[in-house]
Amino acid sequence: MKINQNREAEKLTVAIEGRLDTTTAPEFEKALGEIMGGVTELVLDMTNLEYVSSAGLRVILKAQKVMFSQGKMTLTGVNESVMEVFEITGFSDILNIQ
Amino acid sequence: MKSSKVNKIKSFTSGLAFRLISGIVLWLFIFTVILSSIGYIQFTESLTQEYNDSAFRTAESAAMLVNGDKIDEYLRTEDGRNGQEGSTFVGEEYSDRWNRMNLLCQKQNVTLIYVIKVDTSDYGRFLSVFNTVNDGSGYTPWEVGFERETTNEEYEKIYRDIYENGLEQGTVVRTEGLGGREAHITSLIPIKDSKGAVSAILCVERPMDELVSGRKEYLDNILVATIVLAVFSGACLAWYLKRHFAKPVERISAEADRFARENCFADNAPLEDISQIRELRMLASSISKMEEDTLRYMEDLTRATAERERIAVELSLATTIQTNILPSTFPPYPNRKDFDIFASMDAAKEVGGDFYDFYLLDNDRLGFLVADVSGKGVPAALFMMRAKMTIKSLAESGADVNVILSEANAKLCEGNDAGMFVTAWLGIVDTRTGTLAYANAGHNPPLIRHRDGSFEYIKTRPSFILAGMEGVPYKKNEISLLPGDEIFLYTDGVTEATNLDEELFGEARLRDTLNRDPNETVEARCKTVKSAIDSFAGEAEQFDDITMLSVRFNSFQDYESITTLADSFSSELVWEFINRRTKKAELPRNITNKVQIIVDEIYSNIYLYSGATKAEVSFFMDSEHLILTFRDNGKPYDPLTAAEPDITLSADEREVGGLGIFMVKKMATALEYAYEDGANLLTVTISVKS
Repeated sequence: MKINQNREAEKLTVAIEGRLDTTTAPEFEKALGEIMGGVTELVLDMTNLEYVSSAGLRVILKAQKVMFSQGKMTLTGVNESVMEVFEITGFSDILNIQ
Repeated sequence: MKSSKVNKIKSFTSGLAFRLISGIVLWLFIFTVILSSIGYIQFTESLTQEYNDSAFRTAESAAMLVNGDKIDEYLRTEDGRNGQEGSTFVGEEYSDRWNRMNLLCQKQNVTLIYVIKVDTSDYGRFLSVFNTVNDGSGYTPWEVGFERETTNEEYEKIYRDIYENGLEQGTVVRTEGLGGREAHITSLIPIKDSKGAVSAILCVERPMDELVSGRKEYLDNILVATIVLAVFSGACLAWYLKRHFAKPVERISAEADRFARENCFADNAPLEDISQIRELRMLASSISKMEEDTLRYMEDLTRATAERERIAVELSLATTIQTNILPSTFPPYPNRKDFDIFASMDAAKEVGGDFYDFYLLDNDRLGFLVADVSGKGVPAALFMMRAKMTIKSLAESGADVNVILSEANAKLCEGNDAGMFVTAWLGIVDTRTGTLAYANAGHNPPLIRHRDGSFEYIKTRPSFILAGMEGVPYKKNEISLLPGDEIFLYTDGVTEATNLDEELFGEARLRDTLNRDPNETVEARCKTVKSAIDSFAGEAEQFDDITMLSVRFNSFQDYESITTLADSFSSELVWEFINRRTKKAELPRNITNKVQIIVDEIYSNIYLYSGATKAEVSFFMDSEHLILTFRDNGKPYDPLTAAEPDITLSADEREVGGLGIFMVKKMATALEYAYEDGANLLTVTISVKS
């Protein structure tokens, strides 16, 4: 999994490449934790994300909770697989998906 | 020498002829003796009677000459002179009487006529009153008044009876030899006075010379006649019997004896014209007929035995042919390591009705079956060949199991006038995917053992038998096999094997026998079951064919698995495995992602929470499904019973726990869980149809 970040003032765009599962989610979580400070708008670019498992969902949910208090979070470039997971788990109602 | 002569005599004297003849002669002799004795006695009596009568007549005549009143007067005759020549008679009457009496004596040819007066005090003495003798007799007549003692007691008794008891006639018979005199008879009658009392006794003595000579003559004649007659009739009889009876009987018995020893017809027709006697003819003809019958039976028996031997030889040939028709080379496909197969058939009679068969229909499909034809012996064997070939050719045409059986049924019903039928269990397994399609035509349920499990019966409801009725439907069943699975087929000769107590081997015992050693080779399995049957049955006869087929699937070409330690490092290995398999299967992206998510969820659950040390993930695919199985030796955990998270909650309220399993449930087509032999086994099926 690879993370590409682009910070523009308080808007942070994080592009995730690869997969977000039990193996890779902790790494993502850690990285996110380091760069999320002071961000009011978080964009998760999932264009190159293949799929996400429950471990990934945990991290996304955690990020969302943080951003509720800090500002807002948006998900972009969600593919079919990821969308399916969001829908099955009801996350599509919680997250801001564009 | 001596004993043989003795034996000869013995055998002769025990013969029919000898016994008959000697018996008859003996009887004739006895008969003659009896008859002659009777005649002799009769003759004597008659003649004696005749003499007696004659003497009495003479006595009566003489009695008329005597005046009973004048006895004492007669006794007073002077000088007691008798009627001797030259003497003078005193008393004219006396003389006159005496002369007349004497004349009578001479003329009547009697020895004596005399009158006596007996002393009635003791009858011991008497006085002679008259006494005349025959001139030729040599006697001297007694003088009148001559006293004499009674001769003996016999006379005494007669005197007494005459005087006292009114005896009218007395007789004394003297046979020859007494006192040297000839046989004579004396008649005594009373002389009565005018008052009717007995005053004297008149006696007449008569010789019985004719009697004696007559008797002697009779005897002589009889004797001679008897002997002559006996000898003659004996000889005649002997000749007759010998010729007409003893000889035929001898011939018949000799012939019977000869036949008993030689068991063949005689050259010279010894029983022809054997006799005129009906019974002997019957006997002879019966013996001839029995000889014929015996010889014919012997011929028939010899022929029947030869025939039976010939049939036995042909039957053993048939056994060989039949044995060769069932595939008997093991292993049949040595280059195929993905499965092992072994089968055996032990017929109850020389040829049987059970059979097994297996064939590689193409590189990927293995068909195998076990079948049982009704009955045993040659009819079952013939029908068995037909059934086997019919099914095989239908299987090779590529049809589905139920179609194969359906068409086999139609073909076997044709021309089945004997009303035979056959039960069969046919399975066709796809060796790439492990899918087994099978159909059961009235056959015993086979047993299946899943890897690391134990044998259990495959209990599906059987369809109808084959060749029973046309148009019967056959149901196809499908199961997915995994590597290591084993199937065991058999016929009812196994479960219905009986021991001397008439107990059956039974389904339970079969299952237990198979489960004794899970790691036996397929050949060892069949042999174990066979020896279990043998030791169960003991001395009891094998009544039915014993057939079994054991097949084990070691791998399926489209099936692969990976075994790892249950840790996070291994999850990378698992990911790579899944990636490779999904690429190979050329699955669309979304399915691949789904698979990876599922694997991630479950595998991470295993290594994070179950405490397992080992885990196995297998990937198996056929045209419609992808099946993932997860196995771990951690604590028992059934994900199906996990509580589902409430996905309607808001972000704040949401829990993340339980989400993984929930996602798996939602994404998979089917989920199955089992805890077997200390391992959790989760099977996830994902539909891959486009």
